[in-house]
Amino acid sequence: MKKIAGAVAAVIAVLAFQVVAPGEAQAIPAFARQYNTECKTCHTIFPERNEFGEAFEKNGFIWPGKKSPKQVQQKNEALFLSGIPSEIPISFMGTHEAVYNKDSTPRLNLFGTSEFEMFTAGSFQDKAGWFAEYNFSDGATGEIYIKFRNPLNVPVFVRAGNFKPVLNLWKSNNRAALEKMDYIQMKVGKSPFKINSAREGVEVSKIFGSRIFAAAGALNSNTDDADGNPTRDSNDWYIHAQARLSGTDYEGNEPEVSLDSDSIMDFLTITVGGFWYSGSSQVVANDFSKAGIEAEVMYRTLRFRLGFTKGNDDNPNGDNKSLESSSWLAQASYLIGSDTMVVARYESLDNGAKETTVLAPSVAHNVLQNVKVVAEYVHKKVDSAREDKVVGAIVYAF
Amino acid sequence: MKQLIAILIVLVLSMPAYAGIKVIGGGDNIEIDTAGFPPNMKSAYDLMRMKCRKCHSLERAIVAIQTGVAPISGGIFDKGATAAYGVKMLRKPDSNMTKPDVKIVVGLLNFLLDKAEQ
Repeated sequence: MKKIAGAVAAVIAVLAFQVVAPGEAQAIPAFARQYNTECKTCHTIFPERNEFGEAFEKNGFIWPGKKSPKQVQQKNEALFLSGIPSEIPISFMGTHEAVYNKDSTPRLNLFGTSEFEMFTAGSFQDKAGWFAEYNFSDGATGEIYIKFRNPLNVPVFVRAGNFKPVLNLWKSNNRAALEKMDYIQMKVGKSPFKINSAREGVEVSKIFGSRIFAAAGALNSNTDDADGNPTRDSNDWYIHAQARLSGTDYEGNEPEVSLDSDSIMDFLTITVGGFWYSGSSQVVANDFSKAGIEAEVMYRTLRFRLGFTKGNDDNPNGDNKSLESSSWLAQASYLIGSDTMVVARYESLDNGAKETTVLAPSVAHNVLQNVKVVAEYVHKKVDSAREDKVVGAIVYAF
Repeated sequence: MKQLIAILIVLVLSMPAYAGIKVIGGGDNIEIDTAGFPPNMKSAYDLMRMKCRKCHSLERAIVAIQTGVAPISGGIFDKGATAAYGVKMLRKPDSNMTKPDVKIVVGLLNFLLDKAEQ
């Protein structure tokens, strides 16, 4: 009992320290250092991105928009001409979770999960951007890719490496809450495919005008055996398109706003998108296809996300029986001031064998722009079995 | 005497290059000297000072005005860009900027750009 009391006191002390820590002592990750700007330029409650952050990501981590000729003035011209960033852009992110689940032992796990990740990301002049991540906790690499801008003067982006394909409007880390959306993690039968899994491949994308973004790519199939050798001669293919109907466009430009009259469009951002994916998995010699449509509507700091996916697997269990799958997502979030966000997420998934519903309200608060505390309640019901847990976490990035 | 002149030249060259508009102080505490400004621009400056410094120092705006380059994005900062920056701030969460505020601040930025060119 004394140990628990001591641990609770330690957590309270840590939280109290975060609250009273001086604002000047901000630690800021790679892009913030590179561009000498604050986290909120691209994020709401990190790592959820705002409209400009999405434009920055779509442009291959190259600052979108027109550049002044004076911008070529660099701290070190030789490094600039070599394409080498003047600073080594490395960032770290730590996460410490505590979980309360009345059906598990211990019910209150004060040190549920601790993760520490390293990221490196940046750009080589304005020709290419790169991203790589490594998780110290499990010793695994995540996405590692390079994205070329206008290669050979062809006005497209080409991405190569190990990456999560652009299928959804929201990348899996584009959230203020703790838990990833089940919507993009659903598996069917024994097939290992998940919409948000990173794989080796090549992707071509383009911004049309400034408000339409499209991507298409080819990935290695989930066809490797236990030794990592390919066992089927096939690749996965996908296409994605999205349109930003109002709000900041994909070049980072603000919408036309009259300063003399008010319009609902001044603060309204509407984005719609869809994808189609065709793939195969060797585990059970399964061919499958997935399609989805999504929309995001944001008015000032109130944001709604809606999504629906549908899929067909011809042999996901190895019994030559096909399965239809579908999933729904509805999420509302509201940013209070600029440091606190409340989120409510509802998901309904049917993978052909079982039905899952998820209800996950959460609140996230930025103590500093790079330090947040999050509390999330997760209610998950799989057929008739249900699980309820409360997750609290401190997350920091520098 | 030559030494004194050399020291003065070095001192002058090492001063911040805020020509065109007079500034007071430096870094996070930099201010624009509004002596000689018309009354409406003085009050506009008071508004800009209050609104902009909620999130960042005035140095960003001053550097942009003096150099014609937005210090973070590297984008061109001229009269064609000031309104877009105003809209950007208007749409930022918790900026507490209203459209009348933006109009006044954009008017001031354009006034300062003119002065910086003189």
